[in-house]
Amino acid sequence: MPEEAALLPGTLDLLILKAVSLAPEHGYGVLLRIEQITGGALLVEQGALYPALARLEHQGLLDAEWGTSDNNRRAKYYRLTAAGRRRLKSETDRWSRLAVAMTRALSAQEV
Amino acid sequence: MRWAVIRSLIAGLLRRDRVELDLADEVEFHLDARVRDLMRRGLSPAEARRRARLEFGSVERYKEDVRRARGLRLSDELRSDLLYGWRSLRRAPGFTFIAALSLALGIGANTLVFSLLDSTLLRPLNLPDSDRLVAIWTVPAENPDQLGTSSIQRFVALRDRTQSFEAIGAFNGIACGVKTLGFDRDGVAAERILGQTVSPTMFQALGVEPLMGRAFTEAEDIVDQVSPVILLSHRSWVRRFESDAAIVGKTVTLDRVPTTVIGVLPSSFDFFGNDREFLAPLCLTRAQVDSRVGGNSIVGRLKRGVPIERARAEIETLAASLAMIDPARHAGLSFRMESLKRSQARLLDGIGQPSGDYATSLMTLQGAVGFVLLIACANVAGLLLARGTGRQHEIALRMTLGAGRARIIRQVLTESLPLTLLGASLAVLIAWLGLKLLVSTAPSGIPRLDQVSLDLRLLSFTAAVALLTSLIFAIVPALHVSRITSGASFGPSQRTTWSAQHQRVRSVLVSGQVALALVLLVGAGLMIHSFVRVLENELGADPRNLLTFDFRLPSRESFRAVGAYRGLGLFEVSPVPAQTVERVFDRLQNVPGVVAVAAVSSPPFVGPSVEMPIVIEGRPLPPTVTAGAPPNEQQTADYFAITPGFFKVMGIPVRRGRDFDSHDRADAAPVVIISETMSRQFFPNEDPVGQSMRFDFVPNERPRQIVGIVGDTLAGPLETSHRPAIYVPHVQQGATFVGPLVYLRIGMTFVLRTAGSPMSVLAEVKRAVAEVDRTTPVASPRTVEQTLDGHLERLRLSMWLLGVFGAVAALLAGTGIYGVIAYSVAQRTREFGLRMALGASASSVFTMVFRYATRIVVSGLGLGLAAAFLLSGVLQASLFQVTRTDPATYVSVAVLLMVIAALACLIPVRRATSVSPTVALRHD
Repeated sequence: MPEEAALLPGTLDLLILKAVSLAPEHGYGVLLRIEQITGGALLVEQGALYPALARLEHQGLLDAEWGTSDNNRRAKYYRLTAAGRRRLKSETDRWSRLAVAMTRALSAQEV
Repeated sequence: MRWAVIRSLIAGLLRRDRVELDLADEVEFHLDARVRDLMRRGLSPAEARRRARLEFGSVERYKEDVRRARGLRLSDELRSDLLYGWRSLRRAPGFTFIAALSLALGIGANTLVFSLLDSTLLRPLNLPDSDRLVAIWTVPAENPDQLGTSSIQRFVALRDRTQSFEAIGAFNGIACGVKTLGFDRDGVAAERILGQTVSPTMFQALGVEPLMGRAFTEAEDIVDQVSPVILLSHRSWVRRFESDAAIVGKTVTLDRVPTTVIGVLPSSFDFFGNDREFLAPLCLTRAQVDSRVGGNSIVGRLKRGVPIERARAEIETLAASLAMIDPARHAGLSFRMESLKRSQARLLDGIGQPSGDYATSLMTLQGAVGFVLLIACANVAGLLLARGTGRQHEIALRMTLGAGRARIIRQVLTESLPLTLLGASLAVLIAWLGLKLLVSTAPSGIPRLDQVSLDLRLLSFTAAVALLTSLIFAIVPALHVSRITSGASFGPSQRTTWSAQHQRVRSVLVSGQVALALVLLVGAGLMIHSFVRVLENELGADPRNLLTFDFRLPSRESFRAVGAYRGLGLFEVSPVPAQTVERVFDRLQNVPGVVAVAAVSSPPFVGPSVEMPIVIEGRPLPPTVTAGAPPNEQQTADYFAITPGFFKVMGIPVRRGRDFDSHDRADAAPVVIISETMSRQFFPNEDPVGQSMRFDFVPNERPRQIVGIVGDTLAGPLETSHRPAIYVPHVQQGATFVGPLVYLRIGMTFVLRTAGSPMSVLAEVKRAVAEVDRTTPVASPRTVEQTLDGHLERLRLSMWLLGVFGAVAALLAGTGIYGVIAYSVAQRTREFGLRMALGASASSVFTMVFRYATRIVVSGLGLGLAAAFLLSGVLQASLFQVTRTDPATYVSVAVLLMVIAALACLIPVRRATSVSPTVALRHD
């Protein structure tokens, strides 16, 4: 089994936002997309998605609407709000800065 | 608050099942999709399902997490608390009834009073941009605390010489505001109708557009050439003219002058009240324009963006410059500006001068009902505390299981909401009934009462008050109950400690109730005492069985301006009115049911009369106005023109000399009769009969001989001092008269003493008058007692309202005391049983209980007396000959409350002492 990275708190929310930013999706679709964009490197217990989705909706970062799926079943679709889009951008920037700083720190030559 | 949050809270409360179904659907969709994907990869259905479940994790746990994330936990708790509250209400109908009723009375009374407050002071006027509208009053130099109306000159100055206003208008209800509507059709009697005269600028100032036709133009309101045009009020148009669509341009006869209707006002326009049927241009005669007299109320519309302070400064500057330019006329002038809405809360006297303020009375009443509500809250809180005893175990258990204090408090508060809802619904009913009752008795003291209705504003107010009430009455039990710490023992000793604690809290509540009730009862008591004093007030005349009506001929034909005298217009009066009055006088003698007939220039008891300057022959001349003396330094007396027999009809005693009789004709020697006060003031050491005096309000007045002295009468039932009065035979009045009160000269007010009920002869009287003059109506027929009652309406209303509130407060406080005493006695049943077994009598038990009650009540009395002492100042303006610290009232109220406390002790004590001691001893 490939190395599975444990999910740091807050990263799930960010991944969901990213996944939904591409196009509106239902919960299962969000899961598939996260698997896709992280290359399967970050695994998450699937059920944990739903409290996270509910939380993001409550915070006004996602909008939810009931619709019909490809195979004509009733599903709840989530999409990014304007506030969500802003949060995605700011968190992404923060992560990049953090990653750069950590990489530099951790790759400094041992003295 | 975010929309999503609100949405899920509402969904959680109202459509909980739907929410659960949706959640299940979502999870199921996920699992099905995963199973299909896994099957596509080659797994068997059973294997796929197992894998999918494993990958998902615990469905129930994640569902619970979702519920928590969406705040459903909160709405679930709220729901269960509300349901619990509702169920416990149904389980205890007795408690529910008393508690809901108490709340309903408190909240309902508040809504009722607030509806009056709202319609008078808070609701914006029914005019566009009404916050830019102001009223401008003249402040009389000799009386800076009062507000007064303005003269035409001042109005014109304000209109033409200011920059801050978009428009300034004036209106006047007296000069030319009363007209006789005559119909050309036969058989339809003439009728007197009321209207308002306004300047053409008034339309722009108020922002009113006619529904049909047009407003007046400046060209129609020129001095001495006022056009005979009117606009009809909407109500008048509908009622009198049957909504005639072609009314514009038609002619009606007003005061025998053909007048053209040039427009109709919209139905939403009610600024002048419902009894004003038309608008006419201001009555601008040369005399009026030149005179000093006021009577015009001024309304201004501020220009957009102009702050009120700037406008205020501007008119003050204007006042100063007017005083400088023309000191004789405007010395000491100042203006006062206030929002138009505020000015509408003022009570106006006959000429439109503010004479009282409705605002303070309303605020006082609102405060009073606030007290009633607090008392009701204390009652309900006490009842809840008592019921709380049974729940100690449950609460202790909850806290042991992890509920925090905040959660318990929230629980108690939420549980009380169903009770509040019940109380609030009943309150709306009570308020609605109360309003209906108030409107049906229609006291005139409340302006625009007919516009008050239970609308959305009031219902929102009710809801807000209800929520606040809920918080107030539930917070005490909530705090108290949550003070139980987990780990509390459940034995009987613990329970008595708990009972003792909550008993203390209840006693404090009851003390508070007693204090509040005392304040209200003192207020009611002071008003009742005032009312009794008013009824005892000697009027000096006998007001029973007197029918009175006004009879005045049209102004235009009856007098004309001939100049000015001492700064007021001088008019020559035609002899026709006096002759007509004489003929009516003679005709009325023969009306069946009429015992005696008289007429007088000013209606009796309508208020301060006409003050005329007089001069006593043989004495130095008093200061006069033209010499610069202010009006209140002149030598004046109240002027009455009467017919012979007037004193007999009114029941005024003749003290010395004689009454007028048929010999006092126009060509006979001029005579006058004076009142006792005038005799005392002007002739303290001599006999007035035989002396002469002269009136000084018209030129070339001849001396008149004093032939009699009569008893004093009060100008109104609320007056306390007598003013000097002088009576003249009406046929002996001069041909000229002065000032804006000239309308008094062109007719008289008849006063008829009737054998039976005065109104029963009215039809005959009208017929008789019509025989003499078909075109002049019998106007404002009423009994003199009705006139007197009219003065007392405000006092009576305040007295009734405060009395009702006081009674309700006493009742609630009584039940509060009863509750505490009953509980205490029940607790002490064992003790009393023991005492009685050892030989104590029932009355000694009563004494013990009463002592306990006294302790509670006395602290409340003390607090209440102090509060009443401080607060009674607000009533001072409404009291009549009663000081606000009237000892009789305070003492009686305190005694009353003690009696109530004693009564509240009776039943519990009887119950306790009637139980046999053995039973009592076994009681636990």
